[in-house]
Formats: sequence, structure tokens, C-alpha cells
Amino acid sequence: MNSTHLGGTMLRAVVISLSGLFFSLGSAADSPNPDAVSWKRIQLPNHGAIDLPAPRAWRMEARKPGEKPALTFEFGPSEGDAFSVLMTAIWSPLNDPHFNASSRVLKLVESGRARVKNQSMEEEIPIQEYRGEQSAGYYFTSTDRDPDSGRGCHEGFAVDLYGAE
Amino acid sequence: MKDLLLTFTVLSNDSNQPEALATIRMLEGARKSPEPAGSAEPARRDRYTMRLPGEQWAISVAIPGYKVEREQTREGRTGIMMGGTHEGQKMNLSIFLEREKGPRTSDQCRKKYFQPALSTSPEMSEIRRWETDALALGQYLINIKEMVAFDQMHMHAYLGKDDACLDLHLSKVGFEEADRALFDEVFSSVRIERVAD
Repeated sequence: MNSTHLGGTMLRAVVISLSGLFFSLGSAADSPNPDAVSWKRIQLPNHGAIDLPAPRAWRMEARKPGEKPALTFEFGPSEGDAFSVLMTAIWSPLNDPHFNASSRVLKLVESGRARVKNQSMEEEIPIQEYRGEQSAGYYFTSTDRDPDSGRGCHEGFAVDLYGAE
Repeated sequence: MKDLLLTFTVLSNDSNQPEALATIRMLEGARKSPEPAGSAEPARRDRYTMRLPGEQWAISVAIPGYKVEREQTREGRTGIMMGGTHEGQKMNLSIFLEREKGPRTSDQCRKKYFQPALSTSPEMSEIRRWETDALALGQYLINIKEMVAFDQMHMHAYLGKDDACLDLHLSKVGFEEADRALFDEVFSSVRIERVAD
């Protein structure tokens, strides 16, 4: 369920992550080492931009250019397709002030976890939380039980694109 | 900002998950930049033309009322994209023209791009494929019940021309059947124009 073809190589979805992002002051995360990162910018129409300290060796390109309110970008190695990190920015088309409310987002993450559970090697899939400099979110990790089957690989992607506060 | 989510999925064969950890670190360091003051009003064009370097043809699409908000050229100039919106119709538009490794038909372009597009949301229905004389088309409706009023119709029109593929993507939140004409209007306007050097 959580495998996909990328550039002809079957990737196992070792990690399925869901995260939301809110921006507020606080938290004590260390600033990333400037020598190790390359800042990548996701420009959001009428919503400013998100700057991400990506590993210097990672490339970033638009996966589905132009789509709004979701913008999807793919990070990967500078060469080859050993891994893929898909990142999507979503905002409320109706300017819903509770769009990324913690309770709502957690429910989405739990829903995503429930969808992949039957195909996961792990019997328990804990939801973890991170807190950063200006953002916080949730994620979980799952390993595809049968990555070569190709079964449901699209659903695996799909479920996991929505998440957290 | 309380109406913004940033979501991520990491796919890897490495059970040690170094990319996952790096992704978390990247998110922990994420920063928000405000909208620059006095941002220029996006350009409005009645017809949009897109051409790959070296080609003697260009794709032309009628987009009256749409604001062109983003234009990008991929490194190596193998792909070009634009993105825009129509505020009155609440429509989103993107046009993506990409160099392929050999000649492509419209159906081949659809096979390459539409299937991955179906992987981008968990709540997808009304999936359909159809053709016109030149275009191969596809649609899907996203309706996430946990997100009120997030039902969104997506339609793609694919065109293969020489060794290039066009992906013309339109979407609309709150879609009703009567809105289908808004999509058809854009799709039916796709033209291939000869270009002189």
C-alpha cells in the first residue's frame, strides 16, 4: 500500500509522515548548521513563503506545479532516486481560522494511520510530535509489509498528505 | 497563520530512516516569511503561450480572467510551468510542458501524469478518463469529510506533441455540474501554433 515507483525504482515507504504547521513564536529549537543546509523556499500565493533548511545535498522541485490551495514539492538526492520526500502546503480556501486546529489535524493523522495499518509491518504505529522554531506537528512511521506488490501505492501517498497542527 | 498546513511523506528503502530524521530537522527549522508589502498585481492575459527551447511550435491556451501568478523553468530548461487563478470563478489553473525522452501521444502523457495525480489525496471519487480529438483528459473529485467545504474537482487535459507532454490542470472548490463548462471552455481553446525563429 505504501510503495511507489519513482524513476523506475520501487521505493519502500519506510516512513509515512503527516505533519501540520502553525507559526507562532516560542520553542527553543537550535538553528540549523548553516554549512550543512541549503535554504529552500516554498512561495505561497498571497500567503507569503515557507523557508526550509534542507540538507545541502537535496534537490527540490515542484511535483504538481500550479495547484492551489495545495502546492506539492519533492525533495530527493542530488542524483538518483534513493528516497523521496513529498511536501505539500495547504491552506483553507475559505480562510477558515480553525483550518489547522490541533484537534482537527490530529484526527486526520489518526485517520491516515488507520488506513495504512493493515499493510504495515508494525503492529503499533505511535503518533509522534515535533516542535520547531516556528512550527509544530505530528507524524508517524510505517514500513510497508509488501513493497514489491505495488498494491495500493497511490492510496499510500494520498492518505499521508494530510496532517497535523 | 492559522489556516496553513504543511504536510510531508518520506519514502525510502533505508530502514535506518536518515531522510526521515533530516525531514523532521528541516521542519523544526522551517520559517515563515510574510507576503512582501506592495506585491505587484499578477498579470492578466487573455491567451497564454508556452514554448520549449528549440521547438518550432508553442502551446497556446485561452485563459481570460485568469491571473498568472507563477512561472517557472526547470533547471536544464526541460520543463516549463505556469500557475494562475480566476478569482471570480474560484478556479485554479496550471500548465506544465515537459520534455520527454521520445515522441509521446496524448494518451501516453496521461498515463505518465494522471496516475500519480491520483495519489495525491485520500478522499478521491468520480475518477474518469475521456478523450477529444487531440486531448486525453482525466478528472477526480477530492472531498475530505473532515475538512468542511474542501470538495474540489480536478480536471487534467494532456497533449502529446513530438517529444513533449502538456499537462493542463484546472481545479475548483465547491464544484457543481454546471461548472463543467468552465473547464471545457479552457480545454477546447488549446492550440498548437507554429513559431518562427
